[in-house]
Amino acid sequence: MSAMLPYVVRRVLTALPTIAIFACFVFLLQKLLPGDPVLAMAGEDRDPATLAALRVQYHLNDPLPLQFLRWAGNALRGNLGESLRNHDSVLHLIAQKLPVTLELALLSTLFSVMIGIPAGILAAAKKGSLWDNFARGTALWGVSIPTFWFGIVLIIIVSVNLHLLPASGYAPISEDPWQNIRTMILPAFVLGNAQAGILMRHTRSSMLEVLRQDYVRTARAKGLPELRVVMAHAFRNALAPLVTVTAVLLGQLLAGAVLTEQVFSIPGFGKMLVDAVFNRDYAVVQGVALCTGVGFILLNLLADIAQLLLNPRLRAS
Amino acid sequence: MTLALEQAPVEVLAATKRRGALGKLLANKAALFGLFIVVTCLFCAVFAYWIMPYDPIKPNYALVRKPASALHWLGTDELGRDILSRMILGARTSLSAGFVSAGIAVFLGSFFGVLAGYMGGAVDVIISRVADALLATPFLIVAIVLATFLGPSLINAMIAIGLAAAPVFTRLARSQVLDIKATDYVESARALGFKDWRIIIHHIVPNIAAPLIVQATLTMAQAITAEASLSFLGLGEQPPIPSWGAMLNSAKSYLTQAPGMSLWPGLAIFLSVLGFNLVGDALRDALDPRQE
Repeated sequence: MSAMLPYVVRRVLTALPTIAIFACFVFLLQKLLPGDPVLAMAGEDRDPATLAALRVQYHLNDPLPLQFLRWAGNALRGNLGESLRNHDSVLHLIAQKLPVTLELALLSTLFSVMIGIPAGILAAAKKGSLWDNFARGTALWGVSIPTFWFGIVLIIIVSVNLHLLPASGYAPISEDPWQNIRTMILPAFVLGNAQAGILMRHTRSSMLEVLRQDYVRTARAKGLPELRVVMAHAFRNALAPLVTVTAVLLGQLLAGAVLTEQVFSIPGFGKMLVDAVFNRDYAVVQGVALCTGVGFILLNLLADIAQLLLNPRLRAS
Repeated sequence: MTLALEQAPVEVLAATKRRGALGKLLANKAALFGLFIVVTCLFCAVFAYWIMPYDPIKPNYALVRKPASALHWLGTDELGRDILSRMILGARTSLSAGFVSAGIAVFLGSFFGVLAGYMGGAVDVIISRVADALLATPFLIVAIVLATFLGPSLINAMIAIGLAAAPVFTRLARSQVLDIKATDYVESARALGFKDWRIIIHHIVPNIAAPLIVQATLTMAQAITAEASLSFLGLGEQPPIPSWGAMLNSAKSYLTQAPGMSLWPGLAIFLSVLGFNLVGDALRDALDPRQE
């Protein structure tokens, strides 16, 4: 474990400038806006004295680097600004909506792992067979189908025609667990379907790589049952890269959630972003972008460390 | 003469490889199917104004939300406009978004990637860090956020998608340049005193083109989905100009009354993305030397 420490420290240190540069982007986005932000804040009041006072109040006369440092300092203290629409703190809004999206993301990951990994293992174990072609075709379908359209098609079939599940809405798990599951199954399946295709492709290629190794041939030559060779010998070693892929996919789910939450009217992080976009609530858009980016970078960091823990060869090198 | 002699074996080898790759591509049934879809979409996009049966913009309130019929093969929308005509013109929006966004991504991304790989040192560190930071957030989120700040329009959506997709090309081009830079023929060109820009244009760019073309094809698929997503959210092409994503957005209000309205534009997005993915996958297999 102690041998891993320098790697972990180095990896954390490389993540820090990435976070800093990303924060810089997010800050500069506001500067892309055409027009004077003070005019938007002042509303009807165009009195030059009011505008000048607002500029001083929001430090808009300061040099850009100083403005960035002030903004970054506030962000580090958890102050991401205030929503223009309901004057609530952006961090508070994010804290309210994030659990809903995290639940959706976790359920979707569960779906994608349940579909993608077994399909990938089977496709690799039976390479070139009808099953392999079917699994590869399904993966291609998964990565090509637009999630928002798949969601709409499922609503038409499952909710409108068969009346099996609700088409939209959300019930918090703490209030009504059964209704929560009923409202989350369809969106989670839609999101998970897209990720399952990617996960299947990675599982297949990772398994094929491992199945070519000498020790797998030796295991087969010893007469071990094929199931044991595939699961106990090959899959265990193919697992490490899949952890990274799954972590990256979990981050990508946040992007997919923007559209899925819109289709199924789920009041999560993604829907908040879209609502903020339409209300021109730039502080919320900036806050969501910053949190997503930082979350994604940290997720990648954790995935790299997890891979190191799972793969003894990486630890040795 | 020296240059001609020096380039000849490389060019002959590259030409042979290209012929081999084309043969592999044409022998791949999935790729041919993908190519057929792509060509059909391109045909619709280029000849849209000749093949559209009706005006896709002008409302016809006597024909609101009619189901498919002999006159309107795919039915009509909430303003009585022919869905088939709107889909044909929508192909133009989607494909232009795909081509322009992928073009921006390839040009910008590769430019900075080649610069980082060739120059090395501080230039490399700065460009790589910026690319890493942009890659740190999911592609669609970056595109949505950029499109929000640039304002809702097709042009801005294309710029946003292109900028969001560019870092992948930066990374890819940089890693390819690092490999090529160490080869004997680049070293020889340097020893002969060729200028950097000449080495980059004549010796490096032709040899890193294959993986960039593969990635560009796959980015086209991504860009079409991203444009449809932005239009679905109202950040892409603005009404009344049709785009597949915007058509889906308006159709989702009529899921019970006119489910067909949602079916066709989504199917068009799916098929075009599938087409580019099939071609991209086949190109990657055909151009990958490890498949030899």
